Amino acid sequence: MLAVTTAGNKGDVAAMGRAAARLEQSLEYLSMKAGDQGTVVGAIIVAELAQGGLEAARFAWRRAGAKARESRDAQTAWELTKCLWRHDNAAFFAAVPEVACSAALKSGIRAAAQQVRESTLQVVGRAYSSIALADLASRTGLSAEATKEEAVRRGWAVGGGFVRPAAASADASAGAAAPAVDVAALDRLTEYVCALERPSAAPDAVAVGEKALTAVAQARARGEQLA
Amino acid sequence: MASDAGEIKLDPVNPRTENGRQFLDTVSRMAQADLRDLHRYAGMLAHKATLESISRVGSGAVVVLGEAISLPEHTASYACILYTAEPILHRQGHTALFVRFALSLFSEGDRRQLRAVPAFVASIARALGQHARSLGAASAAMRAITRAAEATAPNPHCLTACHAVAAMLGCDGKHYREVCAMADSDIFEVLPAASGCQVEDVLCFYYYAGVAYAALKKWSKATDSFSMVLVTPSAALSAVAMAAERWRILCSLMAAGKPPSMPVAASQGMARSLADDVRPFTRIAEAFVTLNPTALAEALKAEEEALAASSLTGLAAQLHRAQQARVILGLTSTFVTITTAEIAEKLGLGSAADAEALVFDLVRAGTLRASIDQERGVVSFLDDDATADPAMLVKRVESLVGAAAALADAIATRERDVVLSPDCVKHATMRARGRVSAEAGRSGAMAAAAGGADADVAEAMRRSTLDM
Repeated sequence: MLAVTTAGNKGDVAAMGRAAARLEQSLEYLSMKAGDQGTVVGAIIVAELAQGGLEAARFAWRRAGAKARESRDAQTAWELTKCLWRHDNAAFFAAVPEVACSAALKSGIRAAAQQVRESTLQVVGRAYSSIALADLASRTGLSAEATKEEAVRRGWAVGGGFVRPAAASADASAGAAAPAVDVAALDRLTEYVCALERPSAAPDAVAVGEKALTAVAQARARGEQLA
Repeated sequence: MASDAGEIKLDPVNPRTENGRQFLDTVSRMAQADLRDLHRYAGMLAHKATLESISRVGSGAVVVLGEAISLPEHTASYACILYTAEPILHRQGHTALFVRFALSLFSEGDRRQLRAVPAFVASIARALGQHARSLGAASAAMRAITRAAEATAPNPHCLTACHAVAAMLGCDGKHYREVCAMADSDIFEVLPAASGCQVEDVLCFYYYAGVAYAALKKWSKATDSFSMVLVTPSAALSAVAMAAERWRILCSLMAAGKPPSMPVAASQGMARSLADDVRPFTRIAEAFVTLNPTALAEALKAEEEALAASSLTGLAAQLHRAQQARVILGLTSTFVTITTAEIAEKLGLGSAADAEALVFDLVRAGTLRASIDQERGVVSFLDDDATADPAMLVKRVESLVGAAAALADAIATRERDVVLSPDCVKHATMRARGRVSAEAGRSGAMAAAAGGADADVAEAMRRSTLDM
């Protein structure tokens, strides 16, 4: 338990998660007090959220016992997980500043919030060629101004109440230039296709082996002496 | 769980009785035995008289554990005593004590000695699996048994009973990631004599591996794992195979959008028996492939009972979303751009915002390459990176060709091992006895083998004759 709280207080979320997972799979866990079990469960959940492991966080809650679930740490971590499970980023970011939990978990929750924000921005960059500024702000938990600054920092265009992520808009724009043709790459590709279509000249090793075995077995059945 | 042995009343070992003296003498010999020759030592442990002398002294035998017998020095003896004492402890209500000793054995035992007593280890693992679940110690037991699985496998590719028990406990404790990590390792051999593995262990391992993959939404791997259950040779259709087929149908719908075909290696009798048992799931699959959400909803409603009886209601509930994803993926072959309102209409969704959310989820999951223009309410379907760019396509083909070549080498090596194994040669010989024709003189192939033209074949023959 000490390892869990020490790592959490130092802000080492990954170490906190590993220590909590080891403790959860030990016999010592079964005789711990409800509050401590809940802290272990909460630490596992928060560490998973900080690494983008939403499924693993959910399973950590589902395998927790009834008394562990009643603890404040476990319930706080679970409420945050539920927000993300429902894709309600706005509720998640609204809850983060108000969390009531032990100090060890607080830095993990801050790390989880940072991870969720970063991954959301990456997915939005892939999926949208234009998205309303207000929508993006609610998904990232930032103010409109902060969202605009973040978008500009990433090289996205902002105007008319909409954000235009760079990568997706370049792909989708009409008349986008086709990638330059690499003749050497096409040559190699052609060679591969020809080689795959050519019938193999190598002998069938398995068939040869089977023939040898059958001949040997027949000879033995005839009672012939083997060298 | 109960605490240490001092608080539990166990039958003491009375050194004044014949049984007590025999037992203590046996224990003393075990503790002093020369462990350099572990196989002979394991044979001594498994000897009927040894086992009887331990069982006669009752639960007091385990009191000796930790006194005369310690880990890791006397791991094999520890395993022998625990194996014999388990039914006694269970009968007397000291299951928690057995669980604690078993966990110690697997966590601290010497690996070499554990490998020398595979039957004891397998039996203790199975008992530990059952008792740990009932005591709520599945997570602790899983970790210890996973260590035992690595320790007792004759080679890294071999399946043991411990693998099956660890997979079961992992699924029970929802440690799906750990189970998937174990299933992802290169396990393809079953050596019953060397590992204590039985048919049930093979079936259970692949079944629980499939459940773990499905829990983590790795639908293709889940389908393959459940297929392994069906192709495992067994004397009769098992409940595990029936459950695996139900899972397999639903996982295949999630992975490929269509029901799976019966594996070629599965027996025809099994295929016929399974067809009747999984009829409700076949009907669900037929409704799914129509891509009609109403038909699917009706089928799921009609087969509610069958789904609940198989505990597959949760998985079935995901079929709606999967079917919607299939419809959208189908649109990519017809449309380059389409409005979110049109997508919502095709899918019968409430609003364009719902359609946008669905497309966003597919892009996030990596299933679809698309770009949403929220300002105009339009979705543009994009080309796959790998096919649009020749350089990326060549890289991908190169890596696939390399992987295919490595796989072909591995298969050729395994085929040679199987064909030249003494068991295979013996089997071929026995078949040939019934088909011997009257040939005069030595055959050319016989002369070649006898002359050492294929030394491996000759060696395999020699080894097979040792057993005949």
